[in-house]
Amino acid sequence: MIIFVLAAALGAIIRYLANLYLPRRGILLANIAGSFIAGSVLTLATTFAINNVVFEAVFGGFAGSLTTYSTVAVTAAEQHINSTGNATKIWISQVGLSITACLAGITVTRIMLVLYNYV
Amino acid sequence: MAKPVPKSRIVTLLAVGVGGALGALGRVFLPWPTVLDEALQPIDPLPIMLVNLIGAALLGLFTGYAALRPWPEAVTKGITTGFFGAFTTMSALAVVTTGLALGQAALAMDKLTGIFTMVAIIAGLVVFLYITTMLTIGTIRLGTKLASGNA
Repeated sequence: MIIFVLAAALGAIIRYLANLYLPRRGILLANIAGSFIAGSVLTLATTFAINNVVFEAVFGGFAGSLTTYSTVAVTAAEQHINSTGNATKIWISQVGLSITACLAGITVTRIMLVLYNYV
Repeated sequence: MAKPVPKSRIVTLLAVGVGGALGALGRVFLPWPTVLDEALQPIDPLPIMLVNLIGAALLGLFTGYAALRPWPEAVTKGITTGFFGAFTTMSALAVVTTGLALGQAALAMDKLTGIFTMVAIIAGLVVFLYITTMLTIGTIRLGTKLASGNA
């Protein structure tokens, strides 16, 4: 539990700092990075018997906290309220790139596993 | 003139960390309802949809309310960026969407069936995002109204 708590706290702090120092792209970068990590770790977990505590800490704790859905939702909602027409663009970029990053994490990890003869 | 580099206060960082840990604990360890077996838990859509919908709605409510309240930065960041930011997750949504789409493609006996299922999953995702946006707009307005009424 301690490992999970520390991993989650770290993910949230990194996301906060990313948004603070990169106000236009910080959340997007955090979502992309976290989704890549989640895809990668899940792929590793299907090949190796990863300790469940470690898996939860990285997948649910760190990657889960590094990424955020609610902040994107509020941003999109505020754009809609202000009639800027950017709500759809926000969702497409955030969700689309996160799914792409997840797929990339899965693919890169599987390629590495094949190259190193683990699969 | 160069833009000043923003400063992050240690109290705010700690608040975000604590809020983040609590949000993640709620997301992972509360008994959310499921539709798939435990073995398929990482790609179970129901818990993630519930968590994300509830988190987005509550963050909207808090954002609308807090906009008219002079609360300390550590409190607002701890709750918004920390708790709600970590309570909801984009990575799990990406894994669920990818896992369901790829899983369906891998299991489909007929390629056409696989493609239709993938389209259905993406359509379902779009509907979910639309519902989230509309619900969040409603809660932001409600939060603002509550704060104005209590001012």
